[in-house]
Amino acid sequence: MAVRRKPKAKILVPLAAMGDIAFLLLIFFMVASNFKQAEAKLEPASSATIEETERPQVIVNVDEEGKVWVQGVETTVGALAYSLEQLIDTRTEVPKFHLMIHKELEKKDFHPVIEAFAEAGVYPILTGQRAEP
Amino acid sequence: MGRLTKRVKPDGDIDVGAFSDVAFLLLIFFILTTTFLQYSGKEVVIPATSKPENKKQQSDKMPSVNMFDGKITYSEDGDNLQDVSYEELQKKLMDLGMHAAEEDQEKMVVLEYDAKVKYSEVYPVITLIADAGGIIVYQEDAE
Repeated sequence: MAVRRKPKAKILVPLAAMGDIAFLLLIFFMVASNFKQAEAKLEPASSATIEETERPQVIVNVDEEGKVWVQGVETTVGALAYSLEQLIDTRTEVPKFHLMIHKELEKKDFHPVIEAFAEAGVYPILTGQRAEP
Repeated sequence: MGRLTKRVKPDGDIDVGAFSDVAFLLLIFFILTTTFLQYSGKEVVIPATSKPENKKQQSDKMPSVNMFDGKITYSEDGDNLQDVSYEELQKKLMDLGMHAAEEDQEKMVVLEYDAKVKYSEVYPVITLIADAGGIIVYQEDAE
């Protein structure tokens, strides 16, 4: 008596579609990643009383050489107040300014920056590292 | 008569299985190496001292925090400066109850520091004053 073999079902996996999905996810993560600005070298100061804040809308950095960077563009301390006022004027509402200053800077380097914010009428969010209390 | 041999046609299919392997490897690499930036900070209120309306609000009887020669000194009324530690300063500023104050003048805290002080020393004090609900008023140190 002949034994009939059950024909094996051929399962074809569409490998080309998996590659498309993988590349799409890859592109998503590459675009969603935030890369640190290479120009500004600064180490943030630490404080135990700071807390997590929302994402910044305008970033102002003062690096280890005392250079001021507004949204990645180098500017001078003298022009900082004007730059801040321009940023406020071009937007419908006052943006959140994040100010990060290199921790080793002395008063002569960081105090004029804070004064420029005060002159522009901007209350910055001084960003840094959270320290253990 | 020679045997007829079939000519094998070259196969033009590309094996795409390897592509997905490479794509997933790159994906795993980016997932593991991506660091999401976390922002920690404190909003500080520092009015412009050059504006006349801000100068009118300042008085001599404001709490004062000084940072000279590596020490922190505090006075509740601008006189009788006392050496304090960071924790003692935090307690004294919290005791002022500036969060509940309605007038800006009741929230003002004078902050002075000398030219040698570094930002890493000033930053915790500034955020401490802001955390206590204070408005920072700068007075230049006479150098």
